[in-house]
Amino acid sequence: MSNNAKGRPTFDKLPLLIVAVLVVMASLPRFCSVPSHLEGKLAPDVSIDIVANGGDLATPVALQALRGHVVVLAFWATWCPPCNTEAPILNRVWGRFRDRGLVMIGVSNDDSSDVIAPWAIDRGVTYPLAFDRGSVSRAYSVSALPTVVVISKEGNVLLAQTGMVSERTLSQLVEKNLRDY
Amino acid sequence: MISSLTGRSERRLALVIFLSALIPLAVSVSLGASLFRQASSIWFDPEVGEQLDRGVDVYKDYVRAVKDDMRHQADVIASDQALREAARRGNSELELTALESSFSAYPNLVALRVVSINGRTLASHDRGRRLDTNAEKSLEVRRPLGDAASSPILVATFAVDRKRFDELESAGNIVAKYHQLEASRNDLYQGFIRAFSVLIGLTLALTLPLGFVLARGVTRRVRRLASAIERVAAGDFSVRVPVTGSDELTELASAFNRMVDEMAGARARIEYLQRMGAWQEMAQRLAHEIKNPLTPIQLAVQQCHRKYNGDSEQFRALLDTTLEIVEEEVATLRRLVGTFSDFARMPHAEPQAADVAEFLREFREQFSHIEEALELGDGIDDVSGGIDIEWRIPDEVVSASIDRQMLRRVLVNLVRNAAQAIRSSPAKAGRIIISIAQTPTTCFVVVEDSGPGILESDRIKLFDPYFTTKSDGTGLGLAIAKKIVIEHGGEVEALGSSELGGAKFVIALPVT
Ligand SMILES: Nc1ncnc2c1ncn2[C@@H]1O[C@H](COP(=O)(O)OP(=O)(O)O)[C@@H](O)[C@H]1O
Ligand SMILES: [Mg+2]
Repeated sequence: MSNNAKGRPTFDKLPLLIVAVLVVMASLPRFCSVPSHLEGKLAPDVSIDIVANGGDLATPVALQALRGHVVVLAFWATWCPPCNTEAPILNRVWGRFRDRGLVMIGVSNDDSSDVIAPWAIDRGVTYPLAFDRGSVSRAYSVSALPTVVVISKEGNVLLAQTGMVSERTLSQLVEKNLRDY
Repeated sequence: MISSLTGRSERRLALVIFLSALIPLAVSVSLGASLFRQASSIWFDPEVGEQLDRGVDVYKDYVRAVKDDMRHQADVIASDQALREAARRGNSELELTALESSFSAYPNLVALRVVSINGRTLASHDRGRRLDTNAEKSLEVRRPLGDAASSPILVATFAVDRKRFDELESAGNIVAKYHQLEASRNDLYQGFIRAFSVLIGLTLALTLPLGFVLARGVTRRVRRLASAIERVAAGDFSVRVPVTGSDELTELASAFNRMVDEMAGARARIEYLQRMGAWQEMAQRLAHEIKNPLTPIQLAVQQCHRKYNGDSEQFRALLDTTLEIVEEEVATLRRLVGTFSDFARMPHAEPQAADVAEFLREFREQFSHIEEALELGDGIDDVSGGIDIEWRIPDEVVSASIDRQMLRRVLVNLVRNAAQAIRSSPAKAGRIIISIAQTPTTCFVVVEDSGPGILESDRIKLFDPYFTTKSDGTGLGLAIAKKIVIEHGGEVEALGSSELGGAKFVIALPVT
């Protein structure tokens, strides 16, 4: 029976193994959850389902396919009052720059896509509106609404901001990027 | 600060999931190990080994006996005098007869040979049937046929049924294997441990990512809430958290959003009422400043008009026109002053529990009288001519706290605006819909029209006092409406009408 002791050391290493695992877990980097972490990086490619005001945008539209345009992704929901306040601002910026190559997409976080088109009429919103089942929001770490992401012609994230965007900030940024060419 | 906490909770959650997979596994390893040890101590009992060995010994004894017997038979054959004599003489014929005579007495014999010292066969006899190596096992025994060193040698070949030996061999093999196993039981034990280590490794590899994925879903939402709470705590009410999933966190998220809505609403209301207060104060002062000189102006002009006795027809006519203009303008100013001081002295709403649907039905009944009050201008025309008003009032009770008189004023203002908007449109005719909608927390009274609608840029400004696009407007109608609605704890919004294409005003009142 004394021979058994020879077999045990393997078994005794288990706690050590667990400790090692814990150490690894503790040192794992936290998952970034703030969209502004994306600023300066290449914008994650996503597929977006346009459900209203699509115009000549294909649906689903791949972000990759919009290279060469300045893209504004505006994350919102019909039930979000600040988003409703922000909508006219976005609408004006869209109206000003659409002919110069700005693509603006309102990405809805609503539960259903049915509420999107009536909302557009209620609010007089004319920029394209999309329905997101979560993948787009996840890709851009959207943690709160509204969130605005501005993507340059080269596909880099210029701005990723949570909370209402000011008309000045947004137009200046879009204007500058449209001119830099 | 909060976010670093949630990072830890993410790891904690993953750890919990991992441990809940690991603990049963670890218990089963230790159970398995002790079971293994117990089983092996029974299985590898020394007594069992001894008994097995004894069984093998019995077989060995038997084999030895068989072999001894054959050796003995060879001895007997070799000691045959006739054979020895023939061998000594080198007479192979005699040797042959001697061999033949011995043969019949030994059934196990296969062949007998006499071989010279240098290996030459001198005589041989066999049973006439060759050795069947499949069924028989042979044993060769050599015995000298004489005392001299050069004597020929008897080679006796015996055959034994092979089955016996095979049995022996397999029994021996089993026992050997048993001993081998017994010797290698530590290797077995280690194999067992190794197998479980691999299992634990697999569990790690599977549960850790799973734990992280599961934990991430939860902690991401917690972190969203945490970061939103930080913003709200800093006084920024401009964010809401996405409401995803369907668990306690979902409820927490929508409760949070509701709370921020209420806080933001309360702040907006307070700000609006403060602004209104300032406007009202100004209106009061303005009304006072304008009203005071009106009477002296009017009196002075009237006196001028009355007291003139000259005969200049021209001057007479001028005085007539002047009086007319002044009286008209003074009347307009009086009306304006009246509106201003009305606005300035507007009472606070005192809401009481009521049925909004019933209130709206009553409003519909009174509407024919109210229509006259709508003051749509061009007094001669039937005010509602060409304007079709549709009422959509539900039969069920819609309970909210309302100040009936004040809310009536709100509706009059909205309907008047709608009618004016339709009048200002090229068609001069159109539709108005007055309806009620309800959610569990809010009831909506909606007035929409088929007029020209609202410019996006005016949407917010409409409710400011004195904002008007009409030549004879005061810009107070919507300001008063908003003040009253806010005093009801509600909100009023200007939207576009998807049904009629014009404007849509939505009054939201909290349900009681
Ligand atoms: N139903 C409507 N359709 C279009 N515009 C409207 C409507 N209701 C109000 N408005 C706009 O809002 C402005 C302010 O309205 P209000 O405060 O009632 O003042 P007033 O009626 O004296 O102009 C109006 O001048 C008009 O431009
Ligand atoms: Mg009015």
